[in-house]
Amino acid sequence: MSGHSEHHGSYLERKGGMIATIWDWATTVDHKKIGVMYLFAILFMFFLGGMAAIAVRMELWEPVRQAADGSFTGQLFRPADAVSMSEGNNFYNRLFTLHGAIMVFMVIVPSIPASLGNFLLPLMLGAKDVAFPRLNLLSWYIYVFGSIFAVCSIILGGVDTGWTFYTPYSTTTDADHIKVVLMVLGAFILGFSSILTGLNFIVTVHKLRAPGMGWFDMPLFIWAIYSSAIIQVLATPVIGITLLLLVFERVFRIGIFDPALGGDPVLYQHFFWFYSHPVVYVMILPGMGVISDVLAVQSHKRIFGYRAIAFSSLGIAAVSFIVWGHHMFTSMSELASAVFSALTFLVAIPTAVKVFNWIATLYKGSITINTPMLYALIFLFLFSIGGLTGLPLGTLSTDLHLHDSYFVVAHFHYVMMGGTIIALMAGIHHWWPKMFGRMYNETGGMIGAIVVFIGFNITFLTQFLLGTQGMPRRYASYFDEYTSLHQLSTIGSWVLLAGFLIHLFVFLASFASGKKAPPNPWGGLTLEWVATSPPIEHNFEHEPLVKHGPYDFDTVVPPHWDPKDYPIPEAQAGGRPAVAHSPDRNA
Amino acid sequence: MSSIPSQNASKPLWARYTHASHFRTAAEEFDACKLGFWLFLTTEVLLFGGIFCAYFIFRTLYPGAWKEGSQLLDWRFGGLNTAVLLISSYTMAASIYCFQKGYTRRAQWNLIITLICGAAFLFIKLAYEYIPKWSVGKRPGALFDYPFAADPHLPLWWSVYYSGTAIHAAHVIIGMVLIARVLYRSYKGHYGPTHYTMVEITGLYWHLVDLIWIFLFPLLYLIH
Amino acid sequence: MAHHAPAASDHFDETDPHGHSKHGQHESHVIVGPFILRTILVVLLLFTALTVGIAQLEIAIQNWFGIYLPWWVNVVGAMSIATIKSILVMAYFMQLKYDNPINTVAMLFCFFALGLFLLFTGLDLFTRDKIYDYKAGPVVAGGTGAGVVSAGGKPIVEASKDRFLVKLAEPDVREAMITVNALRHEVHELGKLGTDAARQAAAVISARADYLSDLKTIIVKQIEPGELARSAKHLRDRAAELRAGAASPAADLLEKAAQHVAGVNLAEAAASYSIDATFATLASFAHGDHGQHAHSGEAASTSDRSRPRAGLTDALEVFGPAAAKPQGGH
Repeated sequence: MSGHSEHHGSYLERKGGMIATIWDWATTVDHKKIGVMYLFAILFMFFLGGMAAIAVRMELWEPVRQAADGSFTGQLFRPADAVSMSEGNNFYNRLFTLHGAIMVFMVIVPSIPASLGNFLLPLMLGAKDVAFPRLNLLSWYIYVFGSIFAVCSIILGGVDTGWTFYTPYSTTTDADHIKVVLMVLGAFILGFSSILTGLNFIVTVHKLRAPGMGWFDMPLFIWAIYSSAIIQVLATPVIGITLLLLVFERVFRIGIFDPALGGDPVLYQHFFWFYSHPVVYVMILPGMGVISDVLAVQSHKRIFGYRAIAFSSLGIAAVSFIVWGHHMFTSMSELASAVFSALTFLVAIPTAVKVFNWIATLYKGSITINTPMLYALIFLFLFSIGGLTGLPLGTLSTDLHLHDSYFVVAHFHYVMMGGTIIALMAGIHHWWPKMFGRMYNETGGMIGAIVVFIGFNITFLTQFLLGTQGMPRRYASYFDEYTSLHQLSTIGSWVLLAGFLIHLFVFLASFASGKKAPPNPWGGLTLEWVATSPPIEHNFEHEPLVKHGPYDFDTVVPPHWDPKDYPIPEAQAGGRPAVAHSPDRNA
Repeated sequence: MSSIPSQNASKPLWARYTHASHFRTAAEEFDACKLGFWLFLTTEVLLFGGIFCAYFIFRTLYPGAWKEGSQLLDWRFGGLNTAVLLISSYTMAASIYCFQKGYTRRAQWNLIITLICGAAFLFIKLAYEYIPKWSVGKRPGALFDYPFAADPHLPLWWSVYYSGTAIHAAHVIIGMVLIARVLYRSYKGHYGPTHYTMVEITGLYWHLVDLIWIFLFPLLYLIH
Repeated sequence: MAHHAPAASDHFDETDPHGHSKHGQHESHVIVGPFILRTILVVLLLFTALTVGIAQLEIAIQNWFGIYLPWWVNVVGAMSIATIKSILVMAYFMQLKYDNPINTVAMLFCFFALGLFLLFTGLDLFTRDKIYDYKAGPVVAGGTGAGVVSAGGKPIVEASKDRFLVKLAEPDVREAMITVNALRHEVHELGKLGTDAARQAAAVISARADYLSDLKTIIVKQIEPGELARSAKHLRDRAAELRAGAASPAADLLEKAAQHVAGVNLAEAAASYSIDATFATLASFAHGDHGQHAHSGEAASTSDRSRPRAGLTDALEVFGPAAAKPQGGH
């Protein structure tokens, strides 16, 4: 029983036997373990959602046709006793709902904040833990609990409402209430997890910054997490009441969303998107934070326009609350549509500020091309496409044609997947050595990244074309002229799957035989690189004192610098960097 | 953490309280807890925001139904409940004052009165409003079975009324559970002049319940 | 420019890295004394009384002078008082006044977000029929409310009325209604006598009538078999008591009431009594269950028929509010 090793050993160190270790993880209040548990849960859910996506694409391989003798072609998935085409199509509806609900509520929303955010936030701030560690564990269990609700609903047969649970789909389809209610309550509970994580982060940022760390000495990842936490806190309760009212509506038929009783189904959409649009930025903002950090560190250069990026995060958070109507152009009044359309374009400003600053950061940097950097570049490419295709969707006149078409599907996949998931991949690779104390195979990672990039574009670029040609979303069948593009898209989904399998293999190989990671493999200046890899249980031997900015690559030698590991740029003013990094004031 | 020095063993629990190790001082911890809870309160306000929004929208669309609906409620019970909740808010705040001053006994009595007020609120709500109204068919949405409605949108009024007040009542119950927990722990000696974070936070929650009712009361009972 | 070592790091205060308590120790541990708390409580209760008073005053002005104030007077009045009350609660009970300003900022952001939510949702819902005239006709914001719940395909409130009328047509309910009307007539007659004994008898009959007319008893639970007989027995017993006390006119009326209850005159009364009139009558009672709007307008319009009917109308005018004790304590 050496108290010493308990406090100074790696957080990954085993505490006795198998049972003891599992118990230790299940009851831990250590933000790093909770972050890692989130990461694995999210990756598992990503796998489930991904399988559903592959199934959706398989179903779309050819259009469904019913022959004269009653037999079907092109309907891959349908109940064995199905006698009509609609039963098979019903199954398809459940499939894409499953994909959407899992990916949104259980993967993308918690992805970066709950996993990387939990792991890195206290480390980057130089704190021992988040402000409320037990609350943090509670939000993890709430996440699991909510996911179990959703999975129960899926096991009982799933819902066919789409992930948005629009009324009247969600209040009238299926004779029994249980599946919809379980799924909706699952999302409701997951919302609580999100709220608690968000407020935990806000308080941590306010109260637990290391001595010497002012607001503008925080890494941009923290700014992004902070901004998205504000949205989580302010927007998520509205989905809470929305889903609660939806359950009332479903079970008691209270009529608030039912026009037959005087209610308004579009009111549900307002309620829903007041949460779900800001939450789109909960999904993307942390990704932007990851990219800011990865780009600056991997090009060993002071980030261009620190304050502009920081404030644009807050700007996006602010604007996110006044643009939700652009999801409902076809159902709102003309006046509201016009106002929302105009406001929607505001989002482009802070977003573009970020993108231009990132590109300016790359200019004349000492760029290391490795997996995180590759993913960051992929992010820039894909996110720009996603962002720019958002403009025709925000424009009233073009949206009327593109609304609910594959163009929308492609657009939000470019933003959500090409943005958030790609940023998550960048982040996982960037901080993998820090999280698990082992390096991954760089070549394998880069091959995986390239395959993912190719697969992604094959899958979703084709969908832009499908959309502009008029293919509506959420249909199991289609006209024959769309067949070749659909098949191309399906092939792309296989390539995408192959890319992620390569990554899975690389990760497993890293666990099995990865080289031991140095504390600072990339030459970062933020506080997490001062800690050991993996960090000790209380993160730092001594409370760190911050004496320089997070990206002062031109004036500060990175901590734990080993010339073999990474280059450091020559100081701009000639000669060696002026200030040696001092990780803590007791040193 | 593992062993408390023997000279401390005689002190009450609140005097032995040490703040969590990731905070620098107890004051910082207290501040952080309050900020965290205020953030939580913002989420509660926005949760009720959905109800207020539904009220706002339908009141504007169907003023007739809202006028008729508010006349079907008895302001005397609403007013009585408002007074009960205001008094309970006062006793809650007073109990924090008593803990701060070390008057533990009085603090506990204040908490007990708060609990009684909460129970009284629920009783009045249930016995004089929910049950009589529900039994004559003043019910939400499709359950509506009240034969004397003049406005076709009256069922919607009851939907908003029941959703709003039921979610509020659920908050009253949660608040009472929290207060009961604080009361129990205060008998164990957890709270005193230097440590009363949970009392403060429970108090904030209870005041929020009051705050929501301060708006629900005029909206439902008085505005017509 | 943006990132330089903080100048203050030399004299760094370990217990207070961000300089929160520059202005004194334990800033957040504010003690709000009992005097302030009690004052605030009293003010809050006064404001509650005030807001109720304003609402009642407006109703009184409408009833007495027929002046209808614009709708916003009521709304603005009630909501401003609620806002003041909530500010008081937040500032003193919740101690925001003494607290770290960041908490106030959080709350303000929250109200701002709530405002945006209401504003933009309203922007859509309230302008559905604007801009294009041709839409103003077909577009009904928020739907028609013509919810189909019955097989007849009627709106829900109509369907409720139908169900109610079906119930009214059931014999025991009809019987009960007619009895109630007759009783009310007797109460009215007793009122004309003006003696103590008559008042006493009137109270007895009135209470019975209330009980029988209680919507819950009649419609929901329905009249139990034997309920009318029990009521008749009760009235006869009281009549006997009164006769023993030599208050014979009142006792006679009670006896008459008992006969009504026992169903002696029912056939005759029922013949001249329509379902519609019963419905209107019951509507008046029903509206009375909240105690303030038991108006007799509907009943008065159909008051030219049978004797029980006329008696009922008068009785409602005289005893209307008294007959409307909410859910009577039986």
